[in-house]
Amino acid sequence: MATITLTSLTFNAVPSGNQLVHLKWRLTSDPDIPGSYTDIPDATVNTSGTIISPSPYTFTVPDDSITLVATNDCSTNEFSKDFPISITYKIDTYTCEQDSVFTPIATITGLSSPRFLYYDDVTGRVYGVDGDNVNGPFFWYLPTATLSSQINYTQSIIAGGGQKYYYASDLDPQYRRSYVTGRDTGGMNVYDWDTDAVTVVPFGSDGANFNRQFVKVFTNVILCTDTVAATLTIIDRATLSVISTTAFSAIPSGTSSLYGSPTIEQVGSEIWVARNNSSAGVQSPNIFCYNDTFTTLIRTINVSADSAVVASANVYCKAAWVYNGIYYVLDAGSSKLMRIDPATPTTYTVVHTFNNRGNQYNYTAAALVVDPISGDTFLNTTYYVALGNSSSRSVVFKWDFANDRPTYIYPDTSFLNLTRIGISNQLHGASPGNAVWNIPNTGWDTDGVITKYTR
Amino acid sequence: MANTGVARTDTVEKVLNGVDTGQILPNNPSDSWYIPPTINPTLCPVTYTTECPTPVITGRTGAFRYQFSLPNSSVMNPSVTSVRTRLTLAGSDVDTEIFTLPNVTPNFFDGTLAYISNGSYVFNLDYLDGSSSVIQTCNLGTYSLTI
Repeated sequence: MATITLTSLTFNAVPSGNQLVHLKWRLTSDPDIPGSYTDIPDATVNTSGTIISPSPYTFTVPDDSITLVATNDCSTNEFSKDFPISITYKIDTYTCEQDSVFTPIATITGLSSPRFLYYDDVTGRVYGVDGDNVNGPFFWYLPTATLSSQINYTQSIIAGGGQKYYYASDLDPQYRRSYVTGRDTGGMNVYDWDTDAVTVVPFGSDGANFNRQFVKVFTNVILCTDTVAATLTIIDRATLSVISTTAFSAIPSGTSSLYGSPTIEQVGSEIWVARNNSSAGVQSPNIFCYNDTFTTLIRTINVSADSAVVASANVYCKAAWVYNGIYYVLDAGSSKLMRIDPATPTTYTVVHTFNNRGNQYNYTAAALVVDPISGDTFLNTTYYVALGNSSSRSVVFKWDFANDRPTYIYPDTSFLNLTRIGISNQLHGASPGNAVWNIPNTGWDTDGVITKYTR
Repeated sequence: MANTGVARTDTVEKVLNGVDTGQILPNNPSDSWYIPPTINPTLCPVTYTTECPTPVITGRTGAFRYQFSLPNSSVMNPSVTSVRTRLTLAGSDVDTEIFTLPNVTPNFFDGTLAYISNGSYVFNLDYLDGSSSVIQTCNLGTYSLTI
């Protein structure tokens, strides 16, 4: 917004005395019609055209050129003036990029399995979710925190008798909420950042292991699955009302595509599901492309030639993401990263094969992380001995998507996302550590860490 | 750490009709006023190094496979023409690999060294000048390798 100060007006005819004038403005780019104008308070002008009341006369307009019109009670006296506004931005503060790109400045250690983090401008807190802390899956801390004791946890709703198996989570900064689904959570637990209160959006059934394995926020909806009940639930993102619950069997190829813990991405107007679990339905590591209501299977992309099932966990593709409109899927067993251009969705290209770690870590998972300060892209990569096994090694690659290749490697580094603390240079990232595996009510692993970086 | 020569704008000030407004805004890529990182040696003069990296060993059975990164301050060091990796056993080189700078991926190096017997090998990195003389050698660790 820009503030304009007026000192005088010139009329076509010289008034005989002080007079009241009526003022209004429109964006110069808008048509000169009554509906384009915004009225502003009247002013009193003397015979010289000087505004004598109020003085100074100021009003606020958008950052754009405006045309001002003033009239008195004689319709022939009209004044018009353009106020072109020039807006530029200059460097206020800057940082010299350092070779290390990320400089760790502090860590909070001894955590269980922190996943995603988000700094909330409203409360000045960093919110996150944890995969297995018995104190609760929802947490927040102040950016100045340095100790695990300064992490504030909120418990989930435990509808099924006190167990705390959490299988999936996501954050929703737009609506300032955190979501968790688990074995006995009664559905999707919703943690409100304003009230610190937890509510539940019921779906699925409690009591069975590996039931509610998927929750993810999309533009207008939240998708949840219950593999045991074999249902897909679509929740309105704004109102949190359940739009529909559909049996996998009623979705084309749904028993194959949605079973287990699939990766689901919005690709243009379509929803692409990378099959994760091989133990149900047709035995093929396909990418299933649906319409946004899952009523139509538009196509299937078969990537079996470059896939290998992870025998220990019956897993195919472990990760997928969309960057610059291009879909990427990483096959865990083959460690191959495949690229699919939605403009030619029947073909794919293997763009990279991750080396295993000394023949000791055979399977690969990865997550796309975008630096909120620079827009730089990273792949948080984890090499596993076996999925579900507690032994893993992590590296972060700085990734060049223009050439689909790594440009930098950060050994023994891990963060599932990065959040910027206000307008500072500080980024916080969380690593869940090795296993994300709940020990109900009795304890939890303590290899999770939150790292604070500066750029 | 060393400057790469790139200045990253953290916050911007809005200027209205040539007059500073005092309004400070974050500089995020999603903002319409976003100022991208730019090479600005005046604000951020480049410093040069020959840093020793931390390697990631990606294979140690049958062949020694490795990845590491070198910072801009090293790969853009005008004194450095190439880098050489060496695998040594009992003080003798068993294989070497040379990367002429600039590398295909300027900061990222991915290579393989061969060996013919089980043993405890030392992984070295040499910075070389234009006459292939060693400017600096980095010992990147000792590894037990098997055929």
